[in-house]
Amino acid sequence: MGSWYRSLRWRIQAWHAFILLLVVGLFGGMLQWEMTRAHWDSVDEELVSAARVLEGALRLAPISILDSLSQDIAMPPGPRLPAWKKEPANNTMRGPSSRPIRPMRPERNASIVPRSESLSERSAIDWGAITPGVSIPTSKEDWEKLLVLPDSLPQQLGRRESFTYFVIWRDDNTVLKQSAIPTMVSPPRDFVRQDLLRHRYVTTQRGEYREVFIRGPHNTLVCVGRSVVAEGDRIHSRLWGLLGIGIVTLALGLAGGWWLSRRAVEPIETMGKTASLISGANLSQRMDIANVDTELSQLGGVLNGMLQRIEQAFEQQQQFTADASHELRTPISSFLANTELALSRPRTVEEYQKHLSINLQSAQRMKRLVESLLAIARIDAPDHQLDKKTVDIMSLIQSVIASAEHKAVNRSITIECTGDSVTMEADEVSLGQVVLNLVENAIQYGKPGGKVNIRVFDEHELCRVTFEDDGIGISQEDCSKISQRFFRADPARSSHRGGFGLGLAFAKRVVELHGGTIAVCSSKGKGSVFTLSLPK
Amino acid sequence: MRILVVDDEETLRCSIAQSLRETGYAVDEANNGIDAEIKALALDYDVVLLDWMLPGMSGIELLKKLRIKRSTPVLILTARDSIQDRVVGLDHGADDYLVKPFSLSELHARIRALIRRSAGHASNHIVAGPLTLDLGAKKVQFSGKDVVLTAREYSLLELLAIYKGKVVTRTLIYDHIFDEDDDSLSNIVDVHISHLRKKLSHDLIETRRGQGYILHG
Repeated sequence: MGSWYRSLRWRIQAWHAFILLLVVGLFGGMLQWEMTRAHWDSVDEELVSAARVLEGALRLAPISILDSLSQDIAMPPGPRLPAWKKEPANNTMRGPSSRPIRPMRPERNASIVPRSESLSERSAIDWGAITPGVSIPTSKEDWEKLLVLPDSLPQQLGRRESFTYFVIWRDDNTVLKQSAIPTMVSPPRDFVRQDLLRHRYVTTQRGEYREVFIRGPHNTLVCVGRSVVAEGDRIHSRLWGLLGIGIVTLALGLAGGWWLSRRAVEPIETMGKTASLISGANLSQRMDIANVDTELSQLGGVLNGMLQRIEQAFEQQQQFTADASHELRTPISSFLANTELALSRPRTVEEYQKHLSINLQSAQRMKRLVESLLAIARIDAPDHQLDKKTVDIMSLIQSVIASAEHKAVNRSITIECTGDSVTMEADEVSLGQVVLNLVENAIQYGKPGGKVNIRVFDEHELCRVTFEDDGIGISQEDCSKISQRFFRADPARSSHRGGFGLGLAFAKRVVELHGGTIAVCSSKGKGSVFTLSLPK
Repeated sequence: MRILVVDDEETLRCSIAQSLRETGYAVDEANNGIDAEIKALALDYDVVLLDWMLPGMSGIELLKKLRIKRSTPVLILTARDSIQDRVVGLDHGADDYLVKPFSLSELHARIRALIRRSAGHASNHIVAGPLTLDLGAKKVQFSGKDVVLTAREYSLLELLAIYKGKVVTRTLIYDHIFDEDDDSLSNIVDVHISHLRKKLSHDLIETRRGQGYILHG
């Protein structure tokens, strides 16, 4: 439990959460930024078009009125309200020179000047054409009435809404006219006029007031401003709203991810459970790969294959143990019976000796059996390594013949060995055992008084050795089985003499390890020829 | 009682045979199926000990052939231990089954059980008037007193007691008390009978002229 954080599912979850957070945050942030920017742009446009209205009105005035205005209208600033915010660090935004101003809804603002005109193109204007339904002002007072913001813009002070105000600056930065303004206005900074040379309008943010400057005729500066506190608050609350939505989205995404990762991990867990069910007693269990995605089904398939091989090996093992214990029963039972007999009543010394020597034979047989079993088990071990040295085949065979001499003599069999002298790399000990097995078989099953022929052939890349006897032979159907463990052609054959049926199984395995083959050619009653082929 | 031991493994067969003989049974041996068949069909053995794996003919084959003609009790001895083998053996007519390696004392007990049952006795104790036989302990009591008998005498008495109330022919006595290697003279039976009469009582064993002997229960 301590390493739950390292579990696959949790890690997928963590990464998923991180990526989701990143994506949702990025998306939300960009959305917010874009929306805010669009909002401010539209605000600016609104202000700019209001400014244009004023500019238009200014242009309508003959210069004389303008000048007279200059002198007369040094109005005191309108009612001042306490500033909601302090004087700013101005963050100026310049209107891009190439961006067209977004058209406003044509409600009551038919007095807006045509957009495409630039300042330099301004010329004398036909009054009647521009302001239909509006009488041309003839006096200063009439004209002054024109210098107002469009009615559509809220201009009431006192409410925290985005009320709009304007200020018109003269050439010398004195105030030509202004509407009710909330704070003391200071003359526009120099950079405003400079920027207006290159841009269509300039925007500044003075604390809570957003102001837009455009050039008016005779180097006047029209400034339209607006309190954007309420909007700012709305933007903030929208930001919080966006955050809330983002969190919900994140939560949903995480939930979805959790479900997904669970689905992905589930087959793995199922396989794990199946695997844990597999034990020595239950090796036939297999992974269910029917309902599983490709990658996992591959894994399942591989595991199933592995289990198949393990099960086979297990069965072989069990079979071997069963056979071995069976083979041991016979010598043990005679040993047991004989000993019980010897002890069943008082006996003479000679009788005891006889019983003991019979027991000795049984014990020796058991010893030989165990040795054969161990030899086979050793050879069978998957990591068994041959101890390869340079071996002279002929001399190996000769030494084997020498050790089997007495058995041959017992049956009056002569052994003859001829052929080429071959030297090759081989495991001397196990190969010697194989040759011994073959020679002993030839003697055992050979005709008494007969002959055993061993021939060695050097065939370039192979060394071939044949063992020929003229004994009882092996039937056709038995030929293919003789290399099986514990197989004896005549199973009832005196099991207390002769072998256990392991010699040829051992030989086959050793020869395989050397990369060679062993074959038999025989028929019942006609002797046998065993052929050993070893690559050099 | 005469027993046939069939096993191709010489050491074991000899040990079993010697042990049985030392107990008082007459024992014949065979080391292959063919010889065993001949012997088993020729004589009515009291028990046949049969090994499963035999050269020439498997134990089960021999059993099948034997069962056609005889109802001799058969005990199978084998190293094969599977349930399947046991079932097959018993279903083909074997009366009992012993797995190697086994203890000789167990073998003896099972042989006794088979002999008992085939003669119709339920227990190891046979009572015939004042005579009491304990087949298991091989003890004889006459009128409460222990009687000492030679091995042969005991075998003969046992045979008569097991067939008590029935006439036991001389041939049968020969066949069941002596094995094939025994070349005792034919009148040995009479000698043993007279010895028994002396040790026990004259009235116990009756001679039926021309038929045999009978032990009265």
